Amino acid sequence: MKTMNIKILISLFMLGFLSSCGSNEFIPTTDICSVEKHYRDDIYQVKIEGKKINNHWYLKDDALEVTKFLANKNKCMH
Amino acid sequence: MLVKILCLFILSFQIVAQENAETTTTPETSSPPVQLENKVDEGHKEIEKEDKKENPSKDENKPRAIAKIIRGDVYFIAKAMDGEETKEQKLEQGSEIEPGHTITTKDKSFAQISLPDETILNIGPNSQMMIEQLDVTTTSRKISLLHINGQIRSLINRKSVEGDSWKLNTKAVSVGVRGTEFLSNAYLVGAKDTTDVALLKGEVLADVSKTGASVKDITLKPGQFFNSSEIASKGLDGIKTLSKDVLESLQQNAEDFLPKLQDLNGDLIDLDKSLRSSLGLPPLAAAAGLLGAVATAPLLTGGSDDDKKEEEKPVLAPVKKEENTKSRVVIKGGKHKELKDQPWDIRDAMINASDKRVDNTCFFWFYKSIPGSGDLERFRRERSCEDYEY
Repeated sequence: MKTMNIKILISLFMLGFLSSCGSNEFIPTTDICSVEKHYRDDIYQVKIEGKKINNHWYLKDDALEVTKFLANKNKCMH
Repeated sequence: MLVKILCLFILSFQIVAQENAETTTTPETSSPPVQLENKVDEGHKEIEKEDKKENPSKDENKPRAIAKIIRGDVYFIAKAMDGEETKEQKLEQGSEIEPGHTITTKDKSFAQISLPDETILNIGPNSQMMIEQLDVTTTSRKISLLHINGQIRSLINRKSVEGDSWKLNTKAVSVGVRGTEFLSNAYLVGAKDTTDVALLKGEVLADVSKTGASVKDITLKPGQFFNSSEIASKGLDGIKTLSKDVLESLQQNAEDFLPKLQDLNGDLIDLDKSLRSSLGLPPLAAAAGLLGAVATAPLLTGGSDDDKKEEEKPVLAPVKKEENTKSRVVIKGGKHKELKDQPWDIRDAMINASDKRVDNTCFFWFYKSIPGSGDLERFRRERSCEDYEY
């Protein structure tokens, strides 16, 4: 009886969770990602609205890929 | 929809609660633990009273500093009532620090201390500091710190009023503060105590009489910095100024510290140039000369007072700004060097990028200054291609 109740609980939660997913409004960010070259070396730093995301530098393609990851997380525009 | 889920949740809880009520009842075993605890509590209270009688000077309301952030290995040595020092003990986050305590950070460690007057002290790696005096009330304060060695960043939030005293002493210099943020670095050059001070915000009055300088004290304005040995030899001419963008960059990052201005040989580094490199800022004027800038730029050397008068931005070759037509990412860059002219670590990464990617191996770089030299070195590290710090 107890295990049956737990099963009912879990299934109700899953139902509620799945149905609630669609009800949240998604607001896309308008922040702009940029990649800036180091003044001396041919490596780039990733920035959001002019602020660097970390102290690391990447090859150009890698830096652009990081911006894609950020855009997927809604940290900046695609 | 959310309301429906809540209702279902409450209903299901009621069902489970009902079932539990039907099944068992808890035995009555609560009284003995309560009685025991009470007895123990009374015992504790008695001990506390005795403690207070023995140490009537212990003031619970005495202002104390608190270790807000601890990273790595941070220790403290306390001074007992009889003046003897205790053994080195590990400093934990949230611990209280009293006057007489000496805080030591080891390699790759960091501590942030909060004082009762809302001052924030960031202590860098391999540094030592002692709180000499900490008398703070709502209306007055007398704070004195001894910066023994290493790097400290001090942010004094509360503005000074008449009668206030806030001092950071090193073996060479005593810095009196008036509502400000500054960086200090204390170290030895040969056997000589050396102190560097750079002011980020507000105002400081530094007593440099211990250096043997012709001037007794100097007032710094934001962006100004000095090295105690240079003050000793040149007096007020030893005060230099950082460029505006370097100063702004230092102000923004609360965990930036001041590198040593003198190397082991006693030679002074160009602080502005060194910080530009570490912060990824373009060099002043040098780039304009090399890259053939269109507009003429003033010949600025890091640390001249002329920086203040001429606030023109350094003009470089036009930075290529491209926007990917499909995405909105802005790419700011100049022309790339030929592959054969690239440094080996970047060249290797460029050549082998596609092969490495198959193994999910990518690279990142960072810049760091080597102790003893003023220059910044570039370091390369491997990472997983999906990994990035944010």
